[in-house]
Amino acid sequence: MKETGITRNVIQIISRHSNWKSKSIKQQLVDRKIYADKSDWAKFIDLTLIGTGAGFSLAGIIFFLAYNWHLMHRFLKLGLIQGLVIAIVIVLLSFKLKPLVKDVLLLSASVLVGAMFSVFGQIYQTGADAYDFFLGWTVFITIWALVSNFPVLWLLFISLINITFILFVSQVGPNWPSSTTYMVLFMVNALVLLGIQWLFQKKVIDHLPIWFSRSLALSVAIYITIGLMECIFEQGSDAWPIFFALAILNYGFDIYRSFKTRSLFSLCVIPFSIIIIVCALVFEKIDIDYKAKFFLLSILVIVSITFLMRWLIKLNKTWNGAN
Amino acid sequence: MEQIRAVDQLIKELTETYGTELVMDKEKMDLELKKDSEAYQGLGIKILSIAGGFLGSLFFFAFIVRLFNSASVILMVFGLVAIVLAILLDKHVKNIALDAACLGGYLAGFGMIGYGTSTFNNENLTTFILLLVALVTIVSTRAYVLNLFAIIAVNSCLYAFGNINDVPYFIHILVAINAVGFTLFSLMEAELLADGFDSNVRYAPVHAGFLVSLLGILIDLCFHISKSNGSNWISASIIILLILYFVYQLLISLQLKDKQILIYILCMIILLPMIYAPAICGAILILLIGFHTGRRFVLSIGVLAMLYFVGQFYYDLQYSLLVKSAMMFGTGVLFLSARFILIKQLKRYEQN
Repeated sequence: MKETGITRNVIQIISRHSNWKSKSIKQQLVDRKIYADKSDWAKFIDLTLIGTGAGFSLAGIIFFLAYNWHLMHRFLKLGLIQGLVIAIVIVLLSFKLKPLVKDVLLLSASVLVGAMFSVFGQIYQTGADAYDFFLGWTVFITIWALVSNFPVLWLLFISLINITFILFVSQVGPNWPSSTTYMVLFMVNALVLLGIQWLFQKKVIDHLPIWFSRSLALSVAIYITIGLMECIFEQGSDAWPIFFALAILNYGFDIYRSFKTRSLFSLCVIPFSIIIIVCALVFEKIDIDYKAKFFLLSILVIVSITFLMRWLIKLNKTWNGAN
Repeated sequence: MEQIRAVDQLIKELTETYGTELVMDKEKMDLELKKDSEAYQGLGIKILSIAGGFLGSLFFFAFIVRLFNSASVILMVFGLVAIVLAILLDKHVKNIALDAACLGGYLAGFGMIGYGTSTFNNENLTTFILLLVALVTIVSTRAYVLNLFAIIAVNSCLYAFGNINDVPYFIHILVAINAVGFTLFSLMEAELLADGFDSNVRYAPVHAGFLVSLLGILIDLCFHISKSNGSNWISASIIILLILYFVYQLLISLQLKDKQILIYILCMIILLPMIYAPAICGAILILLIGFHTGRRFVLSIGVLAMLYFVGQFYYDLQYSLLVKSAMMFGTGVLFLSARFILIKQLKRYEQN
């Protein structure tokens, strides 16, 4: 895989249409570095032994602490974790480390803050899923998430915002219909995505991995899909025209961007989301018996997906025509 | 463009070495290579076709079940027709756009036959018929998704047999079948690819099928779903033997002859403490094979499975936290010291 051009797939296809001998195929798999060689194995063993060795030792220590947990005083429990957080931050600030090591350390400190709050909740009996626990966690890692250039930490931060909001609404929030909750979630995530893409364009952020913006875009599409379905099935939801308009605005903008950047991702996700919403609409609003409904839906899905795929394949060919 | 040049270069090299001995169908090969390079860019399209297929089949299944409420024979006939149509459509129409329809039809058919036979109230009969359908599918189609699904279905049916009839130790036979299948398919890749068209086409889905099934059974073992608590060492021993066989093959292919015995002893020292944790052994097997054969996807599944199974070990109620802590810490120190010994050895090796 390290050498360009000849992949495992290519070797499979060539051997499929020829009488290529197995010995020579094996030789190619080795020569093309698809199979690991001696130096790869040496690196792998080194990395695995260090990684698993350190991991298992650490797990052993954690298990040991867990075994003695009930004997420890509450100050010791909290102090242990807080001490770890402080130690990590001191290491971060006082040593010259590789950027990746720094990022991972900051991420572990952020996770430990969560662990600290859960211990706090355990000691003072506030419950492990109280929304204020997640709110505290979110607030106290905000600065780290903002100054770090590490998308994994951003994702943790955004997930925490989502979880905090969902728990807040279900535990103490106003008595909203669930579609309103989804609308707020969709807007928050869409705004974060827009903001980050804008910062990237203005070169404030130097790298924006594709998986990060895609997982955010996917979460937005999922919130829109579930939220609009809730609007359809829920009785007495008044907010649907606003939700609908915002969803159209968001999808329209996304589709425009996809054409501009020649990316197929949103063009796969958005139409699929629309198909699901239309199915829900047909199911709820058209007044025919269930047999006819299911038949109509199956035909609708298969036909629309088939046409959608034909269109996407054609688009893919025009965009990547050089290949 | 780069790929076409590389392929041409490879074919030239091969014809130079083997001369007229090498026969190839260049036209079909080029066509498939072209399709492969296009398909690679459309991973989203593939996922979309599978998702669409599932959704469509679900609605169609619901429609048919509503239509023939309890007329089991008609349901079975319709299911059979849907499966045959899906297989024929896939065979004769080579269009990626129709993949969703094929998969949808096949799954709906499979569901209909299952639902239809379940009205006989004989679980063994239902499982047996579904097993038969899956086996016939493997023989009669070359389509990737259908073969993959059929392999998983065969394993699920065998698993169901074991559970319905309460056969003790049956899960270990399944572990053996899938672990051996996965290992052999991975290590004999070149032989199976060269073994003829049919074997070549089915190689990838069957390999993936073994992997998915093995993973499923390992999860079962991890949660003791089949109540195999006392006999877990059987599965673990099978997998440990396979790991040793893999190491044996690896030493041959890397041409490492000296200190073989030391390596086997080291492997045994590391693996023996896991004799009651077959899931962790299985994750190690998947991880090692994934790395050796350069399949990043398999490797990452191995790593994730390993992390998950070790994490799950925390909740295992058979051992106290103190025992677990000692086992974990001991293994960790063992690994770290193994690394230091190895680095020293390597340095001495380089100096010589």
